[in-house]
Amino acid sequence: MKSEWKLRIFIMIAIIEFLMILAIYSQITPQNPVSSKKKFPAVLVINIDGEIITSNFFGIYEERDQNRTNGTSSMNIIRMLEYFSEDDSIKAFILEIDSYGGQTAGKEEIARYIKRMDKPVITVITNKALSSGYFVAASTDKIYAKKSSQIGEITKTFVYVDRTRKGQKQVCTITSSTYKTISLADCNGFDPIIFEKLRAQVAGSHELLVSHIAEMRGLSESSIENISNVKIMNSEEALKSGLIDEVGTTNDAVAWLEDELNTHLKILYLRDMLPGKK
Amino acid sequence: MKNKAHTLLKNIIVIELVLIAIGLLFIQFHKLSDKPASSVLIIDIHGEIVDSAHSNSYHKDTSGKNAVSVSAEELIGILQHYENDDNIKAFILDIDSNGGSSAGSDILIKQIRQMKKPVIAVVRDQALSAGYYIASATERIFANELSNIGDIGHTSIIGYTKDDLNYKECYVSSSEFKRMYYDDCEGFERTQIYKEKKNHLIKATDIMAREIATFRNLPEDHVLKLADGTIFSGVGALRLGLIDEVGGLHEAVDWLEGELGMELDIVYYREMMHE
Repeated sequence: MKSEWKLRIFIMIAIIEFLMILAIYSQITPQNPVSSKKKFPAVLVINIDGEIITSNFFGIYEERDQNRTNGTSSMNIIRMLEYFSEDDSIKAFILEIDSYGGQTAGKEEIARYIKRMDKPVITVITNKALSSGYFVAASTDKIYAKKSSQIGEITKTFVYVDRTRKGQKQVCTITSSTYKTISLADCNGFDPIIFEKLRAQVAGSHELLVSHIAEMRGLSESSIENISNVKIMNSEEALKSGLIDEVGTTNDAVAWLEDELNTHLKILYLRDMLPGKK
Repeated sequence: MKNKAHTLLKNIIVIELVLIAIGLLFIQFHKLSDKPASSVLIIDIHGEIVDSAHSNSYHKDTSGKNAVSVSAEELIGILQHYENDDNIKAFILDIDSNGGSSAGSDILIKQIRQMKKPVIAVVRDQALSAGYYIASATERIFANELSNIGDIGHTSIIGYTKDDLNYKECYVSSSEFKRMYYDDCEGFERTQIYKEKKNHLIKATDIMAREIATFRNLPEDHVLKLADGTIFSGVGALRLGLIDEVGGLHEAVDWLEGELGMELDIVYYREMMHE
């Protein structure tokens, strides 16, 4: 009788142990898509290189030859910001920008998503931030540029129409710096209504860019208008105009973030995490 | 007596432990058996819209990275399949297209209008011609401030042999502003076939404009005036009632969450294709 009880208790304990192990195991299985392993606080550096475009099928970067990146997909940059925002160890983001511009919609999408983010996003202009490239920079919390960086064409927008009509080649180019002074004669052969539509298109885009950049940088629209025709500035000139906040490198930007967040930050590069990258 | 009490205590502890373990397991199994979260499915409509089915609905360029055409039949298949998936609560069409086949857009629009779950559109760089027509059939259109929107009208290509010598492919369009970038073939405008085709395209554009007016709840006269092939910016299109809101994918998801009263996970169809 006694041994029967002992056996029962032994079986019960065995079952309990089995169930407990199962329960504990299933509790510690990570549910979050971003690994829940304990990691050091880090800042993620994301490169925005070349032309900013809206294609979704781009991978993150398009490489037109093996050594250079010539394009960046706005949607895939947003996906990366979205994905790593969920990772508790990533405390901030740095965009390293080397872009001469791109599609107007692409820059708008990245800028709008950055506005929604809770974690700090700052920019380091490595080589150049022109046109749409600068617009993305302006949407971040702080802009660093290297001494030799080129900044400019900040409100650049244009239309270029090349067509053949009644056997004659017709070309019409209207830019943000010419739309106020251009006349129909400069677009010889174009219908006045079409010419006016093209001119209005450039005027509208230019006004929007001026007002957005002024708002994002806390500057007056007239000051942006005044520098909008300056071709390309170096970082000293951009600093004086209020287009950037500091002359410095990625390391300076990280030091500033460490100060702000009061923590040591490991630097992670998105490009090192991508498959097939050297 | 002491021994009996000791055994009783032991049994109680054992039973309690069993109950705790069962409880923990129950919680865990409940978590695991939870249906996947409610989601919104993002479907890309990038590049030219064609009607026939390909082996792959998203045709890509030579680099294999950019979509150059998308098949309406395959898009219909995707919509029909996920309409029956309980986890998918709504659809967002991610549109970046300068148009395409009117037969393709017609069948796709028919499917969108039949859907019971909400279908909305997010315009990326452009929603032109058939690309906009498809967007107009959805419940709500979001676009960037400087997206290219409109180009409402029709064009067609006709082979034209001038003086029986030079074969050329000539464009006919419903309006002067539509596809103004193309060569319109000198002399072709005077042919009977040009006049007949142009009339046909004007009639087709009239039907398209009236349908857009119905879909968008706008006066027909207003849309008929806009149906001359003009391309509007996102802000211009907003003023004219051609879109509902300036915003992108995340603003569209916010709107759907408000409408449906639930949180939605974003599921990208293009990413499911690679799984």
